Amino acid sequence: MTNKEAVDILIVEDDPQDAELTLRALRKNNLANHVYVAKDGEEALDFFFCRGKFTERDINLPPKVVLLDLKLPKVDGLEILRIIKNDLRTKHIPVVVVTSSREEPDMKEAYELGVNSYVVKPVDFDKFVSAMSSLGLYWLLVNQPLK
Amino acid sequence: MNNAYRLFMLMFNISRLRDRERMLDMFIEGLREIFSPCMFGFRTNHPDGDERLYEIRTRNNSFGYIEMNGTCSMEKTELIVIGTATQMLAVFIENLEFHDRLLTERNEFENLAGQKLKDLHQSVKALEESRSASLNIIEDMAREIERRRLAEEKIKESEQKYRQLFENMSHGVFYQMADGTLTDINPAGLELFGITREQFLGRTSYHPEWKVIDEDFNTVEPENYPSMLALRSGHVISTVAGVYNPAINDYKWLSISAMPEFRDGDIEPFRAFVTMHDITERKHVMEELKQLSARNEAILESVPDIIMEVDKNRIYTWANKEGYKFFGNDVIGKAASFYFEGDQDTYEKVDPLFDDKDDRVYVESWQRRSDGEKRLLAWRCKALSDDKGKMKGILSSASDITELRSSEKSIRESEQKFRNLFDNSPLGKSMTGIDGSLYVNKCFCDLIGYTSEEINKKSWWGITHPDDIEQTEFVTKLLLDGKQDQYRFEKRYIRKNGSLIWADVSIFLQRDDNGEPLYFITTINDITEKKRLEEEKFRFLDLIDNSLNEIYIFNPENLKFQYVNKGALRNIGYSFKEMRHLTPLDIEPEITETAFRNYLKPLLSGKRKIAIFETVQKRKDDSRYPVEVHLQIYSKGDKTLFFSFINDITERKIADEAIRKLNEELEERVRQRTEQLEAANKELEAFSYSVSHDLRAPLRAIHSFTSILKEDFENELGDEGGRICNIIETSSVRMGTLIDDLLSFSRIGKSQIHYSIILMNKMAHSVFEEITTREERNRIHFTVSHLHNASGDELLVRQVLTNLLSNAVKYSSKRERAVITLRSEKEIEEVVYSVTDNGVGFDMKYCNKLFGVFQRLHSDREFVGNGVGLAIVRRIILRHGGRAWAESTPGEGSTFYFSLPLSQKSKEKG
Repeated sequence: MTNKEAVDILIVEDDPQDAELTLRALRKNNLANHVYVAKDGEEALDFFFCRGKFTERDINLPPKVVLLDLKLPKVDGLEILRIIKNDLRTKHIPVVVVTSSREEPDMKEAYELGVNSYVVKPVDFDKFVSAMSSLGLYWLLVNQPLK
Repeated sequence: MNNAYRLFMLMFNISRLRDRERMLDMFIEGLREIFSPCMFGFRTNHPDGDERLYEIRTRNNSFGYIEMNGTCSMEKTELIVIGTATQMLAVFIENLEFHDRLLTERNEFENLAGQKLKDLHQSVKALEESRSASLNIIEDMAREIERRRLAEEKIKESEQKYRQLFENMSHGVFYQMADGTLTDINPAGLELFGITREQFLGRTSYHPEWKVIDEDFNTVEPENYPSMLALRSGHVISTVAGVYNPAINDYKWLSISAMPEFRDGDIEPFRAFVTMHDITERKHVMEELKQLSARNEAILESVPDIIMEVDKNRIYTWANKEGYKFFGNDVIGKAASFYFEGDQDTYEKVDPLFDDKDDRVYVESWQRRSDGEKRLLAWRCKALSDDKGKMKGILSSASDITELRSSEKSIRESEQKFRNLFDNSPLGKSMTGIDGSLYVNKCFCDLIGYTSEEINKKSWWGITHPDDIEQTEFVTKLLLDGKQDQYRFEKRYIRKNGSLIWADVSIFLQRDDNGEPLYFITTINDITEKKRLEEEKFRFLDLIDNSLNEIYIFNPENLKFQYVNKGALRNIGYSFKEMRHLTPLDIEPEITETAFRNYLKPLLSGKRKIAIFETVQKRKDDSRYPVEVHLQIYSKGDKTLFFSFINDITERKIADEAIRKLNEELEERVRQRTEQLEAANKELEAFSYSVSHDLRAPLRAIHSFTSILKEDFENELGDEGGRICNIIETSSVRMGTLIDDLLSFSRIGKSQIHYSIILMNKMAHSVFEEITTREERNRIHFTVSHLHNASGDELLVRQVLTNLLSNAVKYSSKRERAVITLRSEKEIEEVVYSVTDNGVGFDMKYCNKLFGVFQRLHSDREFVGNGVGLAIVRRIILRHGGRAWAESTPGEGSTFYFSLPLSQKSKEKG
């Protein structure tokens, strides 16, 4: 996970356990090779716009999918979504909101901001692994990103 | 004047007889016939100093006086003679006792008389006007003489008195015996004959010295002398003859009456009694009169009255100028009745004159004038006698009183009119005597309520209000003192029924010609109603004046104040005198004239009735206060005024301000509360969010890592470790469900209800399919009996059905053959749905716990559940305005009911 390596999946997740579970689910399908976990909103934004410790990252090599939690320290998920979807450089990046929240307003706002998918994380681990596997497979292998 | 003088001579001649009685006799006889149409009078001063005025009226009193003042100085006696010459006779009658001296002074008298005669005509006119009351002395004297003559005859029969009478008779009297011898004569007779007694006695009629002539101056033979004729014939012989009087060497004209006297039983008279009147003077007078008559006629002509004479046959024989003028020039010879107009009793009325029963008659009769017009004449008639005192006709004077009568009539009519006016006046009228007695008209009676009889018994103070008596007395005194003719004032009368009446009283004091008060004429007008209205008006004005509101009245043109009530003056601080020069603009400094006139315009044009605005008023001391102005227009006739009612709204302003502040505070408080509420809501949302997000994350971690533990360390855990991991997994999943249910329960309260028509049959089947597995469906007999459609939020109602059907399935799961039935029943305002199962049921004593959150009647070991489902049902149904309840018999099953209002617009609750 260096700055120079291309990142396929960006996970924006402050909860380390959730992040570990997500990584474990991806790893089970061999999808965890080029994954970066941003611990808060600010780091996520730095990543997107190649700032701070990501200055050397090539902005022209965007992640194939972003798994975005909504409840984040510093800058929350919906705010990140608004920023990147409003920036020409980042707006084409597929973003999947992965959240524990079933709150309707969140879901509604996320879709309005242009989220590509909205996934509620199941409490049941099997279901969680299944959901994450499907996501990874779809966005990394099935989906054809903009070149 | 010569006539007058001659008459004096005549008088003196008569007076020379020194026989008052004879003189009077002579006077009366002559006067009656000759001078009776004249009027005369005289005034004399007696020696004792009394002045007496005598007026002598004859049968025609319309002549007036002829004044002739003669002054005769006789020592201390002054004789003033007024009247025609004839009247002088009367002077002497009255003054016989000093006539001798008059004789001696006659030249002086003559001169005086002569001078005054010049003024005869003027005097006639002057005296005509002053004639009125008169003293008919001559006629009185005539009557007196008549009486005396009767007495004289009695004396003749009395021998005792005979001689005295004989000697003193004014007539010449002598006796002649049947043989012709003259036997006795009285002094008067001797004087007539002009011989001595001695010469007379012994003579006979044949004595050669007798020379007698008749009136035609023929010699009368002795045998035809009246005495001789009487003796021979035995009849009374009366005649006039002239007898030569040697003493005067002239004939004396005598009126001779020879009366034969018989002794008892004799046929032949034994002697003749001869009386003689000297009519020489009369003869002279006659002659004089012929000359006088011209003047007399002139006098007669000059009087304005009609003078007519009729004979015994009532044929007109003489008329004066006025008479001719009235009756026409051919009146003489016509019967008096010829000129009568209409039926009349004139003849009957004058009959007493002809019958000698009366000598004067006054009669009014309608006569035809020469121009044919009918006139009313007032006649004064007097009988005329001939020489022998026999009635020979009537002399009448007449005046035309047609106009007088008609004016009298009109006076009567106007009196009647006045009376009618008085009696029928629409105003109350009374005549009040000085003594207070009342005479009133009908209107007065009506006003006072008494009958006129009752009023007549009362006096004015009996019907006057006690408080007004003093004033009324003051007024009457004022009038009686002559300070005012008329006085008008208001007073109260007491009516018969005791009620009061206010009257406008006008009093006038009627006085007689001498200015003595007669009676008061009072006119009263009932002003009770007016008074009442006035009082009301005053009360009303008082009310306005003392109103605490400020009331201003101002002129619509120059805007100047015309009236300002006390309340306004008190508040504004100006006097009314000062206010008269001000306009509303002066005291309302914040309003311009244009703006003010703009308020007036719609009032003047009638578009609006009132203008209300708020402004600030300035007091005299320059302090200001907020006011509300109510402007109103008042028009009557061409008079237009503006009323301005001003309310001091200082208090209101303060109150308004307080209210505004309170409102602001309240709003602020509401805003704060809202903020608090919003904050609380946000916190609640944040809480929900946290619950949703943060509680699930650790649960997921517990479950996931337990799964990982089982997966990665299966061998180390062993069977018991695996079993424990499974419990952890199950519990975390249950907790996740619990969290989800709680969140959805809390969401129901917040979310909006979106009403639509729900096809309940379809939904029931759909839900049943959704919540059951095929195995369950095979075991359950599910019946939906034709459900009524509902009105509600489709998602929420679906939740209700889901929860209820889930329960039914769950609690009947232990039956081999479960029966679940859905029914509905339409009631008046709602549809009641029910879900019945044949499950375990519950004890009804716990039914109140049934719909509470986390309340469970069964343990998890019996039936899995978290106690939120029915709470959600209840909350949804309540929000729809319906009800939810349940019935059950333990072991037999239960029925859960819920109702939804029929109306789509049922109100949200909870």
